[in-house]
This record gives sequence, structure tokens and C-alpha cells, in this order.
Amino acid sequence: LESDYDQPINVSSVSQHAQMKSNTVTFNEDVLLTQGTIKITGDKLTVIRGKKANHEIMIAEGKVATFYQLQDDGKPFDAEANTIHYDVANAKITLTGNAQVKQLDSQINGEKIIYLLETEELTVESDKAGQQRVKTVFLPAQFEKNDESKQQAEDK
Amino acid sequence: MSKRQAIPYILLLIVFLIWLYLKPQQELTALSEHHPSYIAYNITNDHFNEMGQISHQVFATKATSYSDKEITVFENPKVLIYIQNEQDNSITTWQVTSENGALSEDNKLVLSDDVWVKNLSLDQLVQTMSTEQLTILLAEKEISSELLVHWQGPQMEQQGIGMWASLVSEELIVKKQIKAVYLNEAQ
Repeated sequence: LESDYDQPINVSSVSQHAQMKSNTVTFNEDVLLTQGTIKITGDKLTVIRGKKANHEIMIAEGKVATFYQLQDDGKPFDAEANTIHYDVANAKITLTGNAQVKQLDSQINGEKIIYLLETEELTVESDKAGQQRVKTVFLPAQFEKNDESKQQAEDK
Repeated sequence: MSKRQAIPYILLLIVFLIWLYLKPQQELTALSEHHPSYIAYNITNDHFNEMGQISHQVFATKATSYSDKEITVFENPKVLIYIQNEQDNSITTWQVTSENGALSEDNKLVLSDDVWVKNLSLDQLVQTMSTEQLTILLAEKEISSELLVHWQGPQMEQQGIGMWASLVSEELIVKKQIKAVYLNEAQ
């Protein structure tokens, strides 16, 4: 939800290592980050404190790090990648390494996917060397259903 | 003095010896097993490193030292630990307070009951920390605890069980059941 990114961010894990010299806190094992409807999981989460308040950078890593959010229209937004970079101040999520986004029946793969929490905008980048093209799978049925449900809403 | 005259004196001597034998030994009041070698009130202890810089200070409302056990027990101890930062020669000051403390010979200070660690220089990620028992290795300037630890930093609160930190290398490890909240309050 749009209100998600104003909420406090809760993190839980098995252990934690804080290095004051680099203003970094690393959470290790079974990491779960929640913020409103946002859920990020991974094996490791590195939180780097920004110069100003609420300017943390949070990097979740794992064989698969996952991201979930319930969008304003009620649709679940699922993503996964090797690395999920969350820029709290700019409400920006960057997925890199086998990045994949799933929403209902559609799925997007790419080397790097950027998701803006405020506008729910998605940008997919293919691999720089162009070997791996962006694979986007949208099932027409999924769109028709949307149009019909909008139609019915308007008819009422 | 004839034999007959001496008899009463001999009797007297025998009675005296019996009384001496039966008289209860006057026991010295036994001292408690561990008796303090000294007790000091409102103390300030300044400790310096090899270069003559102040390393740490220990204050307490009462210090009771037991030389046989090589331990000094403090009431309301307060420890100020000074860390020289090589890069900019600034000094980071940490304050640790609690209700009770016990310092053993190997410079190990165990603080218990309402232990608070505070960074007075406010130049660190970790600003305050609280637990029920904390061990300070004064020489190495390391602190550790086996219990639940809460620590607070700028716009964040963290907790976990079991902790070790080096005030010199400025790192902290919390071992189990980590819960953290980044407040993310609108500025």
C-alpha cells in the first residue's frame, strides 16, 4: 500500500553484527523485514545508516531474497532476486541477480528490476551485454478480467 | 611447716587445677569467614595506560575489598571508559552504571542489576544499551552479557540475547533472537 513506506521497519533474525565505524548493522539467518504490507526475506540483511534520519539503505541477500507487497488495488506483488536493495528515503526497491516479479498470472524476469513504492512503477533492465532479453509474460485473460471487473464496477 | 600443715595448701592446689581444667575456654569471637580488608566510601579510581593517558575511571558509593578472595564489591558503580580514536585523535567516552559490581583480580568487572551503557560522545551507532548483567574486561575494553540486551541508536531500537562488543574496534555482536525497529518517523 502507498502508506507502507511511512511505517516503522521491523527486522528480525537469528544474530546481528553492528560495526560502528561503518555505521552498518548486519542481520544474519532467517531475516524478515516487515513494513506495513511489505515483507522482505533473506539470509542476510545489511542496514547502512544514512547521513540523515530515515535514509537507511537496506540490502537483503540470499540464494533467493524475496519481496512481497499488497498493492493499492489489492493485488499481491511478489518479487525475488539474489539481492534486493531498499533505498528507504526514496522508497525504491532494486532487484538484481535472477530478478523476477510475479503478479497474479503475469511474470517478468530480468537482470535488474526497479520498483518505485510510491508510484508502483516497474522498470526492467536486461543484462548489459544484451544476452538475456527481458522476458515479460502477460496473459491476455488477465487483462480481460480486469476490464470486465472495471466495467461491472462502472455499471453498478 | 610440718606435713599436716601443708595438707590444706595441697588440697587448694588440686581444686585450683581442677577448676582450671574445667573452666570454659574463653572463645575469641570468630570473625566472619570473609572479612573485608578495607571498606571505602564515595570512591574515585583513575586508571592510566602505558602512555599516561587516562584509560578508565571507576566511581562507587561504597567499595568493600576482600583480599583473601581477591575481589572488590561496589555499590552503585559508575565506570567511564575512554577510547582514543587513532584517525582524528578524538576520544569516545562510554559510561556504564549499575546497582552492583564486583571487580576481580584479572581486571574483570561484573556489573549487575539495571546495567546501563551510554555513549557520552554521541558519535556512535550504538548510543545506549541496557541489560541485567554485564562483564567488562577493563584492560581489553570489551563488554559482554549472556542475558537479554536492548540497545538504541538514532531512530532505531534493537534487542537480542547474548552480546559481545569491543569498544576499541567498535563492533557489537548480538547472538540470538534479534528484533529491531527502524522508527522511520517523518522528519
